[in-house]
Amino acid sequence: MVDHGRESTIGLDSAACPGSSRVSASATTILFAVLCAGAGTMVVELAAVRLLAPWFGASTGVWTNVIGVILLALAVGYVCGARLSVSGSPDRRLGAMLLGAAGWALLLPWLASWVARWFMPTGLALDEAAGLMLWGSLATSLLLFAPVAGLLGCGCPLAVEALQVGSGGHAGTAGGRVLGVSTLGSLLGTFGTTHWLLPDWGLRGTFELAAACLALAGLLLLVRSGVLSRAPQVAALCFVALGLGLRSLGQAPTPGAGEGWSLLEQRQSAYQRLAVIESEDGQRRHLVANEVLDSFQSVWQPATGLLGGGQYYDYFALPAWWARAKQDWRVLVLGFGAGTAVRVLEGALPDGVTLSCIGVEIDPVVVELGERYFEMQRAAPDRIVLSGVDARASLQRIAEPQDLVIVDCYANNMEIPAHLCSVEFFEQALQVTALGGFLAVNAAGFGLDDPVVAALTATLAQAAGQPVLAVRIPFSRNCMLFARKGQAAPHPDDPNWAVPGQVGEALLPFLELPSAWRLVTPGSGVGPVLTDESNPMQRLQRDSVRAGRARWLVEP
Amino acid sequence: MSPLLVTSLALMAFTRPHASEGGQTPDQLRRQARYTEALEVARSMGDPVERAREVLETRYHAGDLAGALGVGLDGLATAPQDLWLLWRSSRLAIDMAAAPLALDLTRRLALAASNLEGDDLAEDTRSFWLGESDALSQEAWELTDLRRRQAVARRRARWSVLGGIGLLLGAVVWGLQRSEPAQTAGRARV
Repeated sequence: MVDHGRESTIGLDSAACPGSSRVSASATTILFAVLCAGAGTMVVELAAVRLLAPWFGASTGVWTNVIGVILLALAVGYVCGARLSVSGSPDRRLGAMLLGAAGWALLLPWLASWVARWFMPTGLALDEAAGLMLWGSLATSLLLFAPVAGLLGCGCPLAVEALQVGSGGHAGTAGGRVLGVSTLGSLLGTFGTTHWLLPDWGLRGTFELAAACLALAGLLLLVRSGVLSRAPQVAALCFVALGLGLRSLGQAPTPGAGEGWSLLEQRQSAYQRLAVIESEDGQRRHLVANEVLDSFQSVWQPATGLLGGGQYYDYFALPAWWARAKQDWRVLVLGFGAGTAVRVLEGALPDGVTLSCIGVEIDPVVVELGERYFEMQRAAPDRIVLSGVDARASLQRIAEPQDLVIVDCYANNMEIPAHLCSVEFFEQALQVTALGGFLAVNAAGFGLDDPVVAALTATLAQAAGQPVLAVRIPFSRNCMLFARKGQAAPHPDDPNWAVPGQVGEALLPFLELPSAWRLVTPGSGVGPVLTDESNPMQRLQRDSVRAGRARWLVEP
Repeated sequence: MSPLLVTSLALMAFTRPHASEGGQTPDQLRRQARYTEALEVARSMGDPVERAREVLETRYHAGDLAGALGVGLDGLATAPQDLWLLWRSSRLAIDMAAAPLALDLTRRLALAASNLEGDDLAEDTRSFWLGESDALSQEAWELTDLRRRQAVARRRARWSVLGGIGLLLGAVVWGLQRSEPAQTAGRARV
């Protein structure tokens, strides 16, 4: 008769298990390796999006793909690690996994260029690349990041086995320690990557440092477990040589600035990859965020005033003329970028009108680049730039009523954050707008009927409680919305529409075609009203791209 | 002869000025950026082809590229071989990256331009249209090639995703297979 209780006790007693001789590394070494693996996983995950951004952007869809692939690979790694842990030396295998992951992480910045180019042909416009961004980033993530995440995932069960077999005790104890230390490592990796590694070490440096930590942990395990006891220095030197060899190749290739443009500076901020590019003749600069397609965040030319050529920034000049401004014109720019809107206003306001401006920009690196390359002023008393501040949160800090509030808040070139396009947000923005002042919103879309533009128009009209003017910017894929506090926005049939001078002559005729404008009254039902509670902006943006392609890419 | 002059000659050969009640033609109004009035005058024209040409040109100058292309296509439904409408619509289709449409329009433009041989046109004008047709066809082919590469990349991405997931599933199956557990070995010794 079998004594089940006795059998169970013996079965779980690791001290009695002959496998105990399989583990040579100490518990401290194993837990250090687990800490490194946890940190490495998060470093790779967070930096992965930056690696993809030059080709696929850093939209929510791309983030979802990267996180999904990492989670899937980790799950697979856990399962495979579980099988690997039941035979052989788990500490040695853990060391080998970490070394493999380190080598792969070191190669990632170079591999990314080759793999991404395979899925994203050059020469596409932003809206044309939308479909490829999702499929391409998913495929690239699978090829690039699944191997490293899978190897690191294998580490967990191997570490649990090594710890339990080596130190004795219960499986739960070993598992709990491994999970705890691994999660702490992930925490370090998460904060370290965003706030320290990427801004200070750059993208390649981040991967190199992660690889170095993983390699160190792996080597340590292999040395302690006896595999490399004879030649640990040789193994370490091999790894260092690989790193130096890759470094000697120079910068990992990223998409170029485009024909006729040269790269002035490239930076990694806590939010995005940024690049300043300049035209061959030096007469124009663009600030490009993430993917190098046909979109840019800010533009500069030597002279202030209108940019021309269908740039939506020019239309921010109109409210001062409609308001017949005489002396001061106070402007709040939410989504300041590198200050393009202000440079346009500086040269396009009515004579004698003095501009005072508050700019709000969430990314401090954008402001730094603006000062360096876009002649942004922030030292003057009438030029205040709130850097590193969210647009909505900043509204509580605006004490003086503004004559014009500009809303130009985009994340990842094409995404409007949901909290910056709701009725509540527009109401807050109107609270800091002077009576008779204007709220101007840049709405990217394929026309006035575009789902995003229609929803934003309806939402703004609801918040303003007044008719809102929506105009299609000529030669462009942008629309602009104008609301006026306490009264209807001007429109082409309005006697106050026409304004004297060059600004009116340059801008208004394009907006006067019947198909170029629409006056939307509150509750007219042109689109859904977005609120903090219900804001399907991401779905609307997908619909926008789909509808735009159907309309513009018309088949014969 | 400068390309600008040749273009002007070509346009003169295919378009005639039309005056509004106030005596201004759509072209004159466009030059003054009076697009709404230019559109009104253009729309009042009796001949549907001339109307389409002027409305297209006005919308184009006013920055409404999609509207201009729509007008061009409507005009071509009435006059499928109209060289001027084919030319402008081809240009717009290329600018708006509408590859299949651009290819179709440039093919029709090339055909219409080659049929000019028998017409009583100046050699410069004829060579202008043939040159424009060739240049636009080249651009349309490049655009089509880009679309083809885009489609190939999308297919490649989808197959890669399927392949990658297949490999991962294979790894899961391998991981879940029974192997000799350590506990069994220990129990055997007991």
